[in-house]
Amino acid sequence: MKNLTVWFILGAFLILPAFALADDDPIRLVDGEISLTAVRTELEKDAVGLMAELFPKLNTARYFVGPGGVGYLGPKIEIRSGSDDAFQSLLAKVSGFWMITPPDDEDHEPDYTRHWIHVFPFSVGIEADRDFKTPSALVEFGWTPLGPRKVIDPQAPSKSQRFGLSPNRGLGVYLQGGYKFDNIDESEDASGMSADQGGDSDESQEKPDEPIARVKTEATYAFTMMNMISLVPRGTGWYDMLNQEFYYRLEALLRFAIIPNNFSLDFLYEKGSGAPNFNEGDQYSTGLTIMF
Amino acid sequence: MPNSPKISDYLIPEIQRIMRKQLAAWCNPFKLTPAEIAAVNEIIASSAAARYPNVAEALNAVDLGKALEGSTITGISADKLFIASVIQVSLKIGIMLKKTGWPESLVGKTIVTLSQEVLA
Repeated sequence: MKNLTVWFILGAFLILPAFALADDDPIRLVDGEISLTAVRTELEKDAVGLMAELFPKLNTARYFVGPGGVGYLGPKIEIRSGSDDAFQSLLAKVSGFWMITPPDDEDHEPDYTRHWIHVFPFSVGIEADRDFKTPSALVEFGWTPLGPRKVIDPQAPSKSQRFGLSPNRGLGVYLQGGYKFDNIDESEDASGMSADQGGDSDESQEKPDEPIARVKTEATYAFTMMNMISLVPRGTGWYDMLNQEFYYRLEALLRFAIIPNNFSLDFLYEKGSGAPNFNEGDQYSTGLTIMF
Repeated sequence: MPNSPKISDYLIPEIQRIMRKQLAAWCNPFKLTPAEIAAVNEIIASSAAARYPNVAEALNAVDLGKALEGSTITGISADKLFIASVIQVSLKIGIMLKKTGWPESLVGKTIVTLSQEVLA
C-alpha cells in the first residue's frame, strides 16, 4: 500500500505539472539513452545492468521569460538497475533551468555568445532504490557556468567547444533538500529475507523518516579522438549537511562510437553507487548504448 | 492588385537573424562544415554579421537538430538553451514567439522552416 502511495506521488510529480503547462498535445515521443551491460559487481558476481535516461515529451516546450532571465520546465526519469547486487537507483523528477540574461551586444540584445552564461538548474522529484524501500522526496537547485564562445578553429573543433556545453566537460554545484520516507516492509526485514548486500546495500547515514540536506558537486573533463573514441572521467560528491558525512562516486567511461551519436560500445568503471544508497563498492561493466 | 504584405513578412527575417546569432552561441563545432564555421566566426567577431547575406546563406539551411547536439553536465540540452534565448531576445525586440508547442525535435528543422512555425 505504501508502495502504491509513493508511486502515486511520483506520477503526480511528473504528470500534473507537465499537463498543466502544456498545450493540448498528448504524449507522442520520448527522448533518451539506454545502456544494457554485463556487470562484475562488488560481490564478484556476473550480473546484467540497465541504465536509462528518459525525457518524456509531453509537448516538451515550456519556456518562460521573466525579469533578468529565461527558463524552462519539463519531466525527466533516470533508471539505474540490474540483477543480483548491481548498483541501482531510480530518479523521477520535474526539472528545468533558469538562465541569467547576459550583457547586451552591439544590437542591444542579450549577448549569449561572448560572455559567461550562468544557468541554474532546478528539480523536484523522487529518488529511490530498486525496491522503493526508502524513497526520498527531493528539491534540487544548482549552478552551471558556461564559458564564452571562442573563435572556432575548423582544423580543431574539439578545442573550440564551449566550456560547460558538453556533457563531457563541465562543472555543476547543487543544493539538495528533501525528506527520506520509510517504506521498509518490517516483516521481511525481521526475517532477513530481504537483507541487501554488496552493490545494492544502503550505506547512507541519512535515516528514514528524517529530512535530507546535501551539497552536491559534479565535474568532468573528457578526452576525445576524432569524435570516435572518448575517455570520460567524472566525479560526483555529496556533503550530507545534517549528518556531516561526505559521499562520492567516481566513474571512468571509455566509449567507442560505432555510429556517432547513435550507437556505441562502452567500458565503464564505477566506484561508489551515488544517491540514494551511497554504497562505496566498485563495479565494472561492458555494454552497448543506444541514443534515441 | 498585388497581395498586401503581411506582418509576418517583416517579422520572419528578424526571427531568422536572431536564430543565426543563437545558433552561433549554442552550436556544436563538430557538427558544422568549414563554411558554416566561417559564418559562425563572423558572428562571434560582430553580432552585426548575423545580417550579412553570406552568413544568412551559410546558416539558414543548417540542420538545427544536428548543429545543436550537446548538453551541460547537469543535463540541459543545447537545443533548449537555443530555444530559450531565441524566445527571450525576440521578446526584447517586440516579437512574441510561442512559449509552448515548439517542434518535438529540431532534427531536420532549419532556421527557415523553424522561423515560420514559432510565431505566436
